[in-house]
Amino acid sequence: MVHQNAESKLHLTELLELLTTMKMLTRQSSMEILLEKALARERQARELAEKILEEKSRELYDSTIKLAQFADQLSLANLQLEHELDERKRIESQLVQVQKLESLGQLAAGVAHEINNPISFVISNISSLKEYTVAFKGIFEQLDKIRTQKNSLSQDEIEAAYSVINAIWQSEDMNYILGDVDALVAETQDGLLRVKEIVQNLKSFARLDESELNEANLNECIESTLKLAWNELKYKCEIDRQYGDLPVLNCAAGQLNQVFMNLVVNAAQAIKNTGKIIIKTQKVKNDIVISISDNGEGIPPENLKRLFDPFFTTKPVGSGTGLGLSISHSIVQKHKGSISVESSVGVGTTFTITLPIIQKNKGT
Amino acid sequence: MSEESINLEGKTLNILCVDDELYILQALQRLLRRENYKVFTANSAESGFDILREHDIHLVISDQRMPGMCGTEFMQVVKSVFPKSIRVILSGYAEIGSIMDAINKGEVYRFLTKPWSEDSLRQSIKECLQHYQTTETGELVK
Repeated sequence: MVHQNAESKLHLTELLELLTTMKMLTRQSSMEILLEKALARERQARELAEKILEEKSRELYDSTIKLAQFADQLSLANLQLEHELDERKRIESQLVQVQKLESLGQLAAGVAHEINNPISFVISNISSLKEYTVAFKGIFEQLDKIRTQKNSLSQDEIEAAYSVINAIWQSEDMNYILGDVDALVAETQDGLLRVKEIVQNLKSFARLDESELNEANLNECIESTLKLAWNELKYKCEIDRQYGDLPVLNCAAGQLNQVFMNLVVNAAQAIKNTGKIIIKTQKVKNDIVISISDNGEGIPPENLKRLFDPFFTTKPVGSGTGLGLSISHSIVQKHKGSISVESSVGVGTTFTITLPIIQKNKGT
Repeated sequence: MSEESINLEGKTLNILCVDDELYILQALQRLLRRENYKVFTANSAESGFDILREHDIHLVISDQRMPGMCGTEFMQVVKSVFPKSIRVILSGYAEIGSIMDAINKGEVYRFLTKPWSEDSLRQSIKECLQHYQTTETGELVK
């Protein structure tokens, strides 16, 4: 029994142990389940995160490619823009040339007249001089005969020589020739000098190198422009020159001449019958200020604000391209200057150009 | 002086040259110095009229572009006031508009250009004066 007791005691202990173990096991397995659940959750979360990460990095990759494509497009666009800018500059400079030719065209009548007049009298005078020379030679041949053969000639032969001289003197009107020949030569010289001057003025006006910067005195520029336009002006305008002392300006003189030409020709065209153009130049602080005024028709206010627009013109078709003032404006701007206008109908118009004297790194 | 001069019943033929350029007038006088014409000169349309009023002018040669009155306008007035005169424009700028005006309004007999050729200018002047003579004779016959 005792044994039996002991045995059952043992059993009990074992049972207890077993129970405990079982309890522990049960606890353990529920822990394990919990743990497993937690793990699964964690795995799920990780998988999700990985998925998101993958998606994000794919997106990133995609956008990098897009970015690269975009950069390519950008540089292409840039290239096109540069190209268009070059093209624009080229067209602008062509327009300057076209307008310059136009203003030369407007002057053609005047210049043709101005050149044809001296050429006409020079040619005519030379042919008159040729006739004078024939008379001179006829007389001098006889004189030479008398001079060199004085001793061998008979009295009759000498008489004959003198009568030839007399005949020539009468028929050629030697008194007229002797009285006229000095004037003929002087007038002919004057005519040739005038042609030379016109050609020089044309050359300085038509200088095509637009980027060429020269040191120029603007009073002289205006003067040479006026000489060229003189034939257009002289029949209707009086010019009042009020030139101040100006320092030399580093500028594209040929282009500024074009501006002066446009303004002076416009002023003359604004004058219906006869009138006055006042050209005033002065140095004001660090600027050269040039004003060109006329007492012509004036510009109505509605046209005033469109004055510098390209192709704006009030002249009849064929008489103007409407480029003169817009080109003038851009030439003055290139010199970092400004151009302004004041006008009242029936009273007149004044254009004022202001050009800075110091120009650093001027780009053209 | 020249024997074979054109004259009208013993009258010397009178020519008036009008140009604002003095040296052109001088050159024309030189050119015509040995012809049997009397050459008058004027440097504007206005002084041209003065000469026309004082003398019997048979041929008027005028420049086109002059201050004040231009050649065409001048010829128009000459035509109406002195209709018998022969009119010639001598211009350095032969633009179609002024040629048309000269012919249609000024009824010019010739439109000559500068620079001129001496011989052909002399010849043209001779023809103008011959034309004057024939029209004058024609009128006498009437």
